[in-house]
Amino acid sequence: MKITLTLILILSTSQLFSQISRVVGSYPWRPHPTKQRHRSVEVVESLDWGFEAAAHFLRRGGFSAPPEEIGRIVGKGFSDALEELFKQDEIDDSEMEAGLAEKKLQLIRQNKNGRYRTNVDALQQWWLYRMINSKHQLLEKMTFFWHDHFATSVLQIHFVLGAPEGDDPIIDGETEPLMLVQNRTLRKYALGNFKEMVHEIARDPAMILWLNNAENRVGKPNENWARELFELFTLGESSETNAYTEMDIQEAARAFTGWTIVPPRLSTSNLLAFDFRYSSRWHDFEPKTVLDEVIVSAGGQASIIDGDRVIDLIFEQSQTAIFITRKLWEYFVYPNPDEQIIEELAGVFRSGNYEIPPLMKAIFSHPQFMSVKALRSKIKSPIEFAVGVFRELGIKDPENLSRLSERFGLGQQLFAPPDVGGWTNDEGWINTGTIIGRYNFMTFLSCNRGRSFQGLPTMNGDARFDVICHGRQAEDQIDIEEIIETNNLQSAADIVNYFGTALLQGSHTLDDLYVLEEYMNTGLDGLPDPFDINNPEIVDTKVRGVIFLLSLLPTYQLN
Amino acid sequence: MNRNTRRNFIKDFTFLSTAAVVPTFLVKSVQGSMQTGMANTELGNPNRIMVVIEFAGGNDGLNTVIPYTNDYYLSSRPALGLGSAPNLLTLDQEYALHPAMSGFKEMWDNDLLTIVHGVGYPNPNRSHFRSRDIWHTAEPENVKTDGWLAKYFNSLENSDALVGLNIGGSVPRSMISSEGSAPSILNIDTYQIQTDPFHPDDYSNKNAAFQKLMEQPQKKFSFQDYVSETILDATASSIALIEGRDKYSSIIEYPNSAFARNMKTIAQIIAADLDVTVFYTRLGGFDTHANQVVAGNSLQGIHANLLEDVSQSLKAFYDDMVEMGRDKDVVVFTWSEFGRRLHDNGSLGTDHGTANEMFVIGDSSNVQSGYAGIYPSLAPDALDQTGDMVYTIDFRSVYSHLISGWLGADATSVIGGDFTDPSIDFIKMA
Repeated sequence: MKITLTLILILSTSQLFSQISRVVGSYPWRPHPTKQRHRSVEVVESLDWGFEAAAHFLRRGGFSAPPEEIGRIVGKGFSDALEELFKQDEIDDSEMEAGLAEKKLQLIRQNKNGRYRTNVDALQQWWLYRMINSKHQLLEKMTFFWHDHFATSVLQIHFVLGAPEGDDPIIDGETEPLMLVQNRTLRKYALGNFKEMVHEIARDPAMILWLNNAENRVGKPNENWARELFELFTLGESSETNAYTEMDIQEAARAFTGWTIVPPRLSTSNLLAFDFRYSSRWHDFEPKTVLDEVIVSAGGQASIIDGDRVIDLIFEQSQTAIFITRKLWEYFVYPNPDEQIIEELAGVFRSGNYEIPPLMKAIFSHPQFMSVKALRSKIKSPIEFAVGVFRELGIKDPENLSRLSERFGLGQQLFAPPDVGGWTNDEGWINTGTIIGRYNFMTFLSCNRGRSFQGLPTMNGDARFDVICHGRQAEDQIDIEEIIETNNLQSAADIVNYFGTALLQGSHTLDDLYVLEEYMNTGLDGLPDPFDINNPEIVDTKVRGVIFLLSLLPTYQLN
Repeated sequence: MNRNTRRNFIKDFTFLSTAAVVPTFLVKSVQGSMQTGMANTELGNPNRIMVVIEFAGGNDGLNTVIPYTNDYYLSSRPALGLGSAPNLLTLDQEYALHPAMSGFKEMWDNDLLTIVHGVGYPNPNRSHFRSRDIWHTAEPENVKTDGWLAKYFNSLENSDALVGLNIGGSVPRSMISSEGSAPSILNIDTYQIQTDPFHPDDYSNKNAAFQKLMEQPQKKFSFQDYVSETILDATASSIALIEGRDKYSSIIEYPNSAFARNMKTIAQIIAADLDVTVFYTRLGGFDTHANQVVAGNSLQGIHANLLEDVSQSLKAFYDDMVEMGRDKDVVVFTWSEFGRRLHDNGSLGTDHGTANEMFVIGDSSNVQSGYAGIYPSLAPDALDQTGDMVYTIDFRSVYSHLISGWLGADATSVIGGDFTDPSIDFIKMA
């Protein structure tokens, strides 16, 4: 065995060198149309540290922040802020956890056949609450990134991980939706080790069901998991890199035979189970050749190592670090980076044995991150857009937010990517339909007074406004009075300045504010009428109007 | 859309104040724009409409147009084969349609359906994402990003925002180029911007502020222009749709599915006479690696449900066109990023394959019904090294033929080469 392993090692090291020379750049399956990649690194202008720069830092390293938090980070300075970002796990997050527990979300429901299924709304609320309120912002952001990366949808994988049979099969902490189990795994490794994450995800029941590996068995191989493991999760599509072949996929599929789940116990109506199980009975013991290595199977249960060996071989390819690094850069910094930057950072990833924090720290420390080029260089995804505005305006617990994306056609539902390729990026989020959706979302948000819209002139009596605004709690409304009082806002200029800063975070112009001030000083009859902070009706109309109008600016859609 | 035209629209834009009453100045401006902005042939031809339907995931062509007497087919598909299925909709001695597709069979019998066999491209790629992009950009060899339909739109003089329209949540790459992307709509009724319904008296102030904000010079960030232009396109297209949507009245009953609703939206917009030339919509779910059929009943299952939806929805749509008197103005075609393997897998499903058929639907005065192209051989020595069919028609030939034959534009510049194929000539030249 040892000799074989040494030989394998020698073979794969030489593989490594030939791989390096073949790598010219990975194929991002959604390349950006704007620029061709060039080989030399351009020198970029760095951002002056201040409010706008700190906001950029918080929008990328988390889900944006209210003005006070941005101010706090400005005061800390970039170096200390960066250090704090990677020590967030030392910050106490019990307030968020307590708030979440208090919501008593019922993540599991029974369908009409008595089967236990995921309550999708509740699950989405569970995560959204964390995104909005957690102090571990980078962790939630990374988890969100990995969720897109290992894209699995709750709309098909609506099953629940089991508990023993009995009168009450739902046991706190033991009975959970499979997609929650996956989410916990992603969070566990989000700032951990990527290679270990892949080994764990290969055993994730949701993933196994989603990519049909539960049925992958000797004599009847199913390629779905093997294909996406190579193409989407590690090496990236290979038509430009030639990092792997169709045969590799077919052989890898055979290596993963038997990686299945405990089948549902049909004797109970609850159908709880779905834990990972390795079935050597279903395993294909014949040798497989993957990435030029012959994998000779061990006997019995030990043959599970065939699949793990495939993963290890993938990580011996230099392309893996490049593909993942590129994807992280395009998500956290800007699209279409120079080759050299990616190769350099991929080296950091490899030499760190695929630990994620050192790579992320290198990305955030890179001069191109806090740069004029990176500032507002991406388009907010619907979740970033929605969670961002809630954090910016101090809304802690918007109920039914999970449905908003669907109702306004924003195009993104948590836990429900359209397919295993995950979500789109940047311009893909914005088309005429979705921009109208975002604007209407802002109308809902700015107009939410806890009163019904019924009877008011809305679009064809559009029920979206109606259902959402029925008797809502204060937690999902913008507390206009509180903001005015806390910040001592007294004039139109004060108000426009506050909300302009809160939403546009330094990327607005004085002209924008001037237009809005003029709007505030125009009466309901269209004639000039100085804004009166003591007139509740005017305050109600105009302040909500300013919030809405600010969000219409193209800049507001940019991250 | 031309930038100047966009800015003219923003002056006429107003937020929705009430569904019941449309302010008179808005009506006038829409009428104005209908006359000046939406004129005829330079922008696209309302008498030559093309509807593009994507079957996303890789439709199993072998079980759609079934070689029901072919021994290789029968022996390769022990679990999924439909050779002896009852109710096969036989087209002739060799081929039959899946039993779920009665709507298509009716169209076939009425000379409204063309089946293009064996469509694919050299060195087939079996990644959903790469293969889709190949079809979207008409570029099998190089990774390109401009969509073929977008290139067609860009080739038109004074191309209008509404030459191409996507029905759905995200614009396909076919309709995206570096010069912009097509508008996208899910539902006509909610394709308008709503403002605070508690204070309708403040609308005109908000309008004025919005217009001024859009006129302000903004800081130059990378996607700034892209977002601004989309906003302007959105306002322009929503104005155009406000009045136009009332022109649709139809007795045709569409099935109760999201896909059918999208087809109905297309019908409504055609009725609105907005000169949209190319519509696009997609139906997903075709990636049937498992449970393509139900165990023990190969007529039921995921694939059967999809084909039934397709057949009923497109039949309803075509009937609607006849009802509206627009059937001679419309050609519909379907595509999928690849077919599926000849052999079924062990999960009552099929894995990614290669060549596939395309359907074309149109009045017989415009489209020659029947078969086009050659059904690929299923004999073992005719398959490729992974056991998949070899294509016989390059998809670019079909695209080219539609562009030059139906849309009347220069296919070579749009598709980037001459892909004329004499066996692909189903469009009857006027």
